[in-house]
Amino acid sequence: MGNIKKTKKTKTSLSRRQKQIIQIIVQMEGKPITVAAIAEKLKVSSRTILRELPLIEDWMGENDFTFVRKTGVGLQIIENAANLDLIRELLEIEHTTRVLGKEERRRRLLGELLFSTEPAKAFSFTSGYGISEGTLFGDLDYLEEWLAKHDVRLIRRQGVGIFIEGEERAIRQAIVSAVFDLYDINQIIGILPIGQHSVDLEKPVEYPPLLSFLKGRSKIIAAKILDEFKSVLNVRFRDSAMVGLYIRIALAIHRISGGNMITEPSPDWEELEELREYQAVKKVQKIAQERYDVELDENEVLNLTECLSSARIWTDASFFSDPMRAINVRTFVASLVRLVENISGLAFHGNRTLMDDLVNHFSTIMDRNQHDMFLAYVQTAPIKKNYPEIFAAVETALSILGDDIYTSETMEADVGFVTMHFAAAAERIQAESEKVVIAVVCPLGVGASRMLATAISRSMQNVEIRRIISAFEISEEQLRKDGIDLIVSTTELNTSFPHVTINKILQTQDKVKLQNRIDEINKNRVLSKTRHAGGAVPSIGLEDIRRTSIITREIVELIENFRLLQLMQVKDYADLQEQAALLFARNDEVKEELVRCFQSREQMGSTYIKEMKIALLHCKSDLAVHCRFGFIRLKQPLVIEEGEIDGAIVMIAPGHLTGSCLEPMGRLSALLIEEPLFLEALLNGDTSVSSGLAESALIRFYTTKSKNGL
Amino acid sequence: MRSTTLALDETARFHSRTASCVASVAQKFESMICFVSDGHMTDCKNVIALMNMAIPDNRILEIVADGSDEQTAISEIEYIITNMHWR
Repeated sequence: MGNIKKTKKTKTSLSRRQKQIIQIIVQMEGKPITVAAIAEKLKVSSRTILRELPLIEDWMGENDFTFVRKTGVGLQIIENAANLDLIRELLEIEHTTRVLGKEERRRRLLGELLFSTEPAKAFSFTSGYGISEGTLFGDLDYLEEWLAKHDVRLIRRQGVGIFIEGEERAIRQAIVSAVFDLYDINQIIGILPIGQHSVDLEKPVEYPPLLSFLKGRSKIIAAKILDEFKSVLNVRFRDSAMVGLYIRIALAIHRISGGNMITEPSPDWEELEELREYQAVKKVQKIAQERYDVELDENEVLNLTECLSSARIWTDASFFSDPMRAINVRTFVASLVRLVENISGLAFHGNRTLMDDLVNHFSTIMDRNQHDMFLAYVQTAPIKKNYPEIFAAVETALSILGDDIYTSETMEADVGFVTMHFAAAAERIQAESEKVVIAVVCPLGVGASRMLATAISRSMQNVEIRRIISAFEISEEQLRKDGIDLIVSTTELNTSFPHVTINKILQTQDKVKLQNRIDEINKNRVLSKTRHAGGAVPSIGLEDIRRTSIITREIVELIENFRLLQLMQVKDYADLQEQAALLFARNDEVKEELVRCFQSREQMGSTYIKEMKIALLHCKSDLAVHCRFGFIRLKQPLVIEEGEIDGAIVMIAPGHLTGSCLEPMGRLSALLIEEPLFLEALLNGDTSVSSGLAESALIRFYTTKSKNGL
Repeated sequence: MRSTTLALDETARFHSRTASCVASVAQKFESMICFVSDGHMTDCKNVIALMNMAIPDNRILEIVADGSDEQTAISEIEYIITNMHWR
């Protein structure tokens, strides 16, 4: 390791002891001193001194000082008085730059150990970091414990040195965990391609030892390979998943190019090979070899498959992708919205965009391993200042509901985000409902005012110019009577009535100024009353029409084939699954397939919803032609380990449908939470009420969608 | 005053995190910075306005900045927008 250090570092740094030795030699003013004499002065053995000498020689050489070692004579620095002073000065500077905090030192130590190719000597660490052996052993004890958690052993062997031992897979996992455990997410982002630009432009990127694998080639190739994955799988990734994947891919490339391959196949290889991600990695494997000269063998392919599949691909707003989770999130969001409404006194219910946005937001929050890098950007202060009521309501609501989701720090940061969603909804509701009524005042005459008025109404949405008046005519009473909200003037006005002063010719700054003022008025209004109305009709393309026709068709299919089955009892969960399959199966083949699909879904996690005492049997199958929604009511509850089952929701979707085409189905499962009557009717076996509610919900869905574009 | 025009690959609204990222960066600048789309302007420093900004059907977005640091402002905002896959 001593040798490695020399080649790795461009500049030798000195330990405290090395400095003491140099100081003693400098004090001799050019006369030689024996090693034994120095050892005597420092109360250490001669061997210890001798061990330090190579580094001291390096340091002297680097700084162009003449340092002589003569057997039988001793050590000697042959320089004039001025240069001896320079050495003393240099030692001072070294002293101030080489002090590292405990945390940082441990991180570096871990980084060096994880990436070193041969055993390291303890003294290279003690001298490199300028610490005592005791401190080093303390650090090593700490790291040993930490590494053991990741099945990696830290070995300290007399005469050999310090090194780590473990399977390549475990070592990689340890490195990834170390990166996320020991570094602040912002430090990592600072090194990734996006961070450099948006976070700090001037600062040059510095790689700590643990992140050294991100240097140069692997960083660029990792980004390219990640892009390949995205295009092959046609997905986007969540922020945290993105960073995690990036780190893993870069690390794999670094380790492979260093000859450290994973030698054992993954214990789950059979399951991994069946995943869609496996095919994607296979495709990328070829590309990686042809374009970037990175050879991925079968074990590496499996490793990457594992990384990808655990990255939880995030397809956009697909309610069906995991209805269980979606139901949990939606239940949470529904109670949050109700609570915020109660506390703030503002009406938010029935606001679909807000619900969807929040569901989206909390799905990512509730995910495991949330290293949300965007928390750094949260606009808490301005939000708190501009929407104090909403902020306070959200804060209270989250403190009541958020215990399971947050730690104390993330809760604080996330209040800002959640408030943003509510504030945006309030703004939207307002903007859609009412126009700000403006009076234009211009002393130059009505002609100029009219020009300005036209310019304003052309470039601003939601404003109505009701009057054009002269600066001398302003009567607050009259303005209020006319329902004017804001005066736009080209001269400074001396009035307490809300007004804004802009240039005669409407320029960019004026527009922003005016828009801000209008937003402010809207905001004040929204806090007093909240209403909502429909939006404008957007233009559409052929693809939209195609999608619309699929969605419309599925809506009709769902309404026409709504089934409610009542059973006295079922034997067990498997029996329930079979009954569910029978509900919609055309023939035996389809039935078998559906049962199999239900079972494989069940293996991914329980589909029992304890709070509602129902099971949510759902699956996607290529044999299904259209979406189906049904309910099995059990007169005698089925008792399983987790609790009682009073009934089962059955949802089946065709394999080829994705994204927004599954929304009608999602609407029905959302209805379960938002409309307690629906579940009640299902559990009472009331077909007409439940199918009626489902139908009206779907029709409502259709009308709002067709108004806003499906 | 400077401006640059971008073609977006998505029609959706801004994600809250993208919006707050843009606003945070925009607030660092002294310049007035806004998005112009379909003739409507959105102040980049106002996170709520960004969240409610409708991305036009033609997906064309213009970034306008006016002030002493307009050049850097535009390039930084442009960088975030073109790297929107981080949303």
